Amino acid sequence: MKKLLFVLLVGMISNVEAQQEVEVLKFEDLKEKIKKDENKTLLINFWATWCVPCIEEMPLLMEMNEQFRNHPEFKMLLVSLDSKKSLGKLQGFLAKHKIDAEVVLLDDNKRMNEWIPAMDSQWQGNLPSTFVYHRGRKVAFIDGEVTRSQLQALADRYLKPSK
Amino acid sequence: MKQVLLPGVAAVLLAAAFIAARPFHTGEPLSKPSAAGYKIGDEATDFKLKNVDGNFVSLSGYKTAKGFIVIFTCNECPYAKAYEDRIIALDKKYKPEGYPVIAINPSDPVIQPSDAFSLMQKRARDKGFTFPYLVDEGQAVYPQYGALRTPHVFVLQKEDGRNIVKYIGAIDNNHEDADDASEKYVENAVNALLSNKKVPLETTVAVGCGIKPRG
Repeated sequence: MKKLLFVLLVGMISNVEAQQEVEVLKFEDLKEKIKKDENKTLLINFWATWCVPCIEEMPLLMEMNEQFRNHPEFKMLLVSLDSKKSLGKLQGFLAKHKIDAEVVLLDDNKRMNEWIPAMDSQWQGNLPSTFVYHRGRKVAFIDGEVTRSQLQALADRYLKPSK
Repeated sequence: MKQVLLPGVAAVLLAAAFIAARPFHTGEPLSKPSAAGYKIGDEATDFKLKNVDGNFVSLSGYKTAKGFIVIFTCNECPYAKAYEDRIIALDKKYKPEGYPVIAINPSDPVIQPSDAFSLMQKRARDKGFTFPYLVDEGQAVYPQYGALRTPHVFVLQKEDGRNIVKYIGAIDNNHEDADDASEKYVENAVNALLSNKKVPLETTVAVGCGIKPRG
């Protein structure tokens, strides 16, 4: 953990690597994105760079993303709740940790009380939170850190080997 | 022979069934139910928690209060920090009206060293907290309330000596910019209670830093 934080700090200071484009969205745009991928198994993770458990679970998510990188029906979308003002810091974090799943920044603070319940009536806004959609239908809401066995169960159920 | 065999066969079958069943039943559920906690109208428990000044604080110690603005918050969460000045302002505005702020830090300092007692004392001193900033020693109180993140507010109203939950949620609808908050949830709730009206919006949800239980 300390090591990770150190790496994180170094990452913030020496932000020289190529930066991933991060789209800044409102909730309607996010809904559109979910709809666009309704023929896939879509894993959406809400996180932020300041959220320690989010950072702790990130390697597991990246492992899954790597494993199913070429699966035609898999898509991972990381929705950052970092402040729009911290976009540079977010991009530095992504570069340093080689996070190559698609990342968007949800800049819709004033309507949290609308879009949090719209994602799931049980969601209280805790981070991290993960939602899985399979062919347009929400099939899982994981409130808190994901575990390896949860991701494995999802993969077993919804992601058959592509070849 | 039959009598000897049968229990043996049964044992093998049972063992086989157990082994076969295990992978399907030891997996964690994909969706966790949300944590239990107070709902609007519930009676909130009193507590006796250590304040940053070393004294213990209980709600029952506030004889003339009409209610309380109980806020679970902590030292380092960016959301909690963003709201510190607004928490102080809430206390200054509503303590004279009978609704003092009671801040409780639910973090376990072993998991979250930045929330050690000495650092809570420093934070309270540096920011000039006008309200008690209490340690939830052993993390006993926050699960009863159902606090999930920092900051998480519970507005209580005294009714016949009981503290009834009247509002649960966020302070307002813009953690980043107080001047741009168009919905002041806690102020609206306390104003309604002060004029004997129903709280207009009794629960809200917002992003915050999750409270981590030990172990």
